[in-house]
Amino acid sequence: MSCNTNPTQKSSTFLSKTYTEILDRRTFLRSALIAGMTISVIRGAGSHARADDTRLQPGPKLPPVAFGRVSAVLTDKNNLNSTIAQRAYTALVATDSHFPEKLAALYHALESSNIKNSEDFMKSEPYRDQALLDTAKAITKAWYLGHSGTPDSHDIHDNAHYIAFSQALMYQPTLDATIVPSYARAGLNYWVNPPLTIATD
Amino acid sequence: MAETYDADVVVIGSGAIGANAAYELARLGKTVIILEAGSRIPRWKILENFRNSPRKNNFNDPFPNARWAGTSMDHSYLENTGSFDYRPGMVKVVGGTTWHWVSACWRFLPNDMKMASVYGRGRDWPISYDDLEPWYCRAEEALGVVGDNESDQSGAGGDKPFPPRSKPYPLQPEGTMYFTQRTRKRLEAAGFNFVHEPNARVTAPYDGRPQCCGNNNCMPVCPIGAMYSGIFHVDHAVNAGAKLLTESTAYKLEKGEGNKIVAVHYRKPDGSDHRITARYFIVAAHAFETPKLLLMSDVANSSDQVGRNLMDHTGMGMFYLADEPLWPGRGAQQQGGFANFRDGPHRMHHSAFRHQSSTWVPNYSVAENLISQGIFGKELDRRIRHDAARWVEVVTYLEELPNPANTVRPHATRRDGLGLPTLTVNYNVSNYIHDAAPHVLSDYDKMVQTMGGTYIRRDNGLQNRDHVMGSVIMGENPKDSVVNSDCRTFDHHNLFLATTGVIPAAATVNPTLTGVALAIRAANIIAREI
Repeated sequence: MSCNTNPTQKSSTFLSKTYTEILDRRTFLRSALIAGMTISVIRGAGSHARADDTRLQPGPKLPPVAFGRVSAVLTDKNNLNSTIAQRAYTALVATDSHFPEKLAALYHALESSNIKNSEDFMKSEPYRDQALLDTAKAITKAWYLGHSGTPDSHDIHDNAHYIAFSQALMYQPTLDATIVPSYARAGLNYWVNPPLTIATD
Repeated sequence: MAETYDADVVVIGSGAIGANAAYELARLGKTVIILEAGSRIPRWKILENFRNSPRKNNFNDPFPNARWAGTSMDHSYLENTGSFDYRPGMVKVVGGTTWHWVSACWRFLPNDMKMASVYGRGRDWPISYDDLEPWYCRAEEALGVVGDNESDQSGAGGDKPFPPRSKPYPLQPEGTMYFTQRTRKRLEAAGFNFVHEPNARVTAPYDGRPQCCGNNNCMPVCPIGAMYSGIFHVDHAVNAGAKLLTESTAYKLEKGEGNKIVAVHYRKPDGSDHRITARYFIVAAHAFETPKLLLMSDVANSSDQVGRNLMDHTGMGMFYLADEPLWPGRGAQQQGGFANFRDGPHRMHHSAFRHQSSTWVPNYSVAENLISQGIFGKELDRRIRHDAARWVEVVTYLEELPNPANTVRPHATRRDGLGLPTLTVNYNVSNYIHDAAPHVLSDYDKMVQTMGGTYIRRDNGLQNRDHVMGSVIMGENPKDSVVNSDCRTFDHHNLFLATTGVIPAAATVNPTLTGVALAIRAANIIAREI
């Protein structure tokens, strides 16, 4: 489902007059949440990009088809951003040079067991294999957290590589209620009110 | 023969404390040179670096770590030899480390400054709260502090404002977050005393800064400059006539006749050495680099206390899921917390402590936790929303006592890119803090129970809280102290230290406002003597 492109209409339906929130129409996902549909990820680095995305370069390595297929199963999303996929794969290989083999093993396991979505995966034999599960987590973290590896809060040297920030999937489920840090969209004291969804959150 | 000097005063360090001293002197008509080891980096660039960082929980990451300006998260620059890895954020750039604080601006309490007299532990300050009070007002005006004029900030839950104030806060507090409304209502009913945290995120246009609009990014950089950082007073000082020299690392204070300091030597990245003279010198180089410079220069240390008595508000923390949606992340990264144990007779036996809620957008921690547990797909998205709404993080600040064995020193052998010594710290946490831990955990259990919560993590272990104190300790007695109550070194009449390193009793509150108050006061003392 595409993002709503008419913010005024949505505003009158969902916002009380006391709100001064200015919803970023490119990230307004309220209708998607109600409908329970797959949340649409912002497509491409050029069209609706925020400041951290404008110079996203895909990276040198074209990911194998397996990467897109495995990512789709683990995230239940069939419209993942291809630029970010390439960045994610590049970052995962930079963190772990054995990642291509680990990806292949996981892909093979998912294919052999005909695992088509995350629910199947979480009930499957491959899920109980520690090595395969670790690979699945690493891939999912790359998409959701926006980096590969493990960042260190107290050391400038670690094995993390940057993938994305405002397009990291961890923010998508809550964008109606909270911001991506550093991208304010409202004014002083908007926060004295809860999000509109509070009664059913 | 009349003496000529390069300036009336040289200030070494362009962080919030040094910049406020420099501005005050320039404003009072004195000529000032500010030496800064680091470079100038514009706000937009820091913000861009942050957004493109893979380690967003590392607040130093958006800032340069130059070979001539080493910073604290570089383990080859800052070594730890004790049982605790003492590693506060410390960056070397124009404006200093307050680029990446959250701008908590508490005053110390009267009892905080009389620990020995009242509780028989640690040291007394050689000045009282009343002595410092007018300077707190000046510091609050300089930083643009917002605060609640009615609250009992001691955490005792009294109905009178405390500590006493001669002037109201310059600005009104920000609106109470929904998160705070709900947690406060439920936890106050269980006996916890909430205190709003005074802070420097302005709530109206102030001193050229816009008001806060909830970027929730105080650490590591406020995108719009609503939050105070030292950079503002660097610019004020320069506009008032001070001269700023960047990429200029002081490495030696030169002694002369009458045991005065006559010059400071500094080195540039190209290796060239320079010497400038002044009537007075203020070292405001952070509580690490200030003692390091004194030790390298062999000055101000007849007490043998330079680089000793290092303290922090060593912390504890926990996370839990509350039983109702609270939605942390709407507003700033902190707003207040529960301070019942900030003061009281327990300080005779164990450390005081003070809880804060961290109201960051929690999605990173939430998602990392869920994926690590092996949750994927639609269930992951559902759980992210559910948990992010209910996520509560509590951080606690404890009070260390001064111990001469906790030290910061120039490294005996390691050298930085300028050939100058790097830093080595030896730090161990005292029983005063360990003995408080069970009481902290008991508070955590009561909070979680009251909020119908489920622990994610009950005990994060002892943590850095980034508040460096004690390393050039203030006192009445030159035999056991480095500076007197004016922040003047006992050994050199014209050498002052402007740093939280002078603080002799740590309390449980962020020390920068106190450091700024002391620095403005010291600048006024110097101005009367020049």
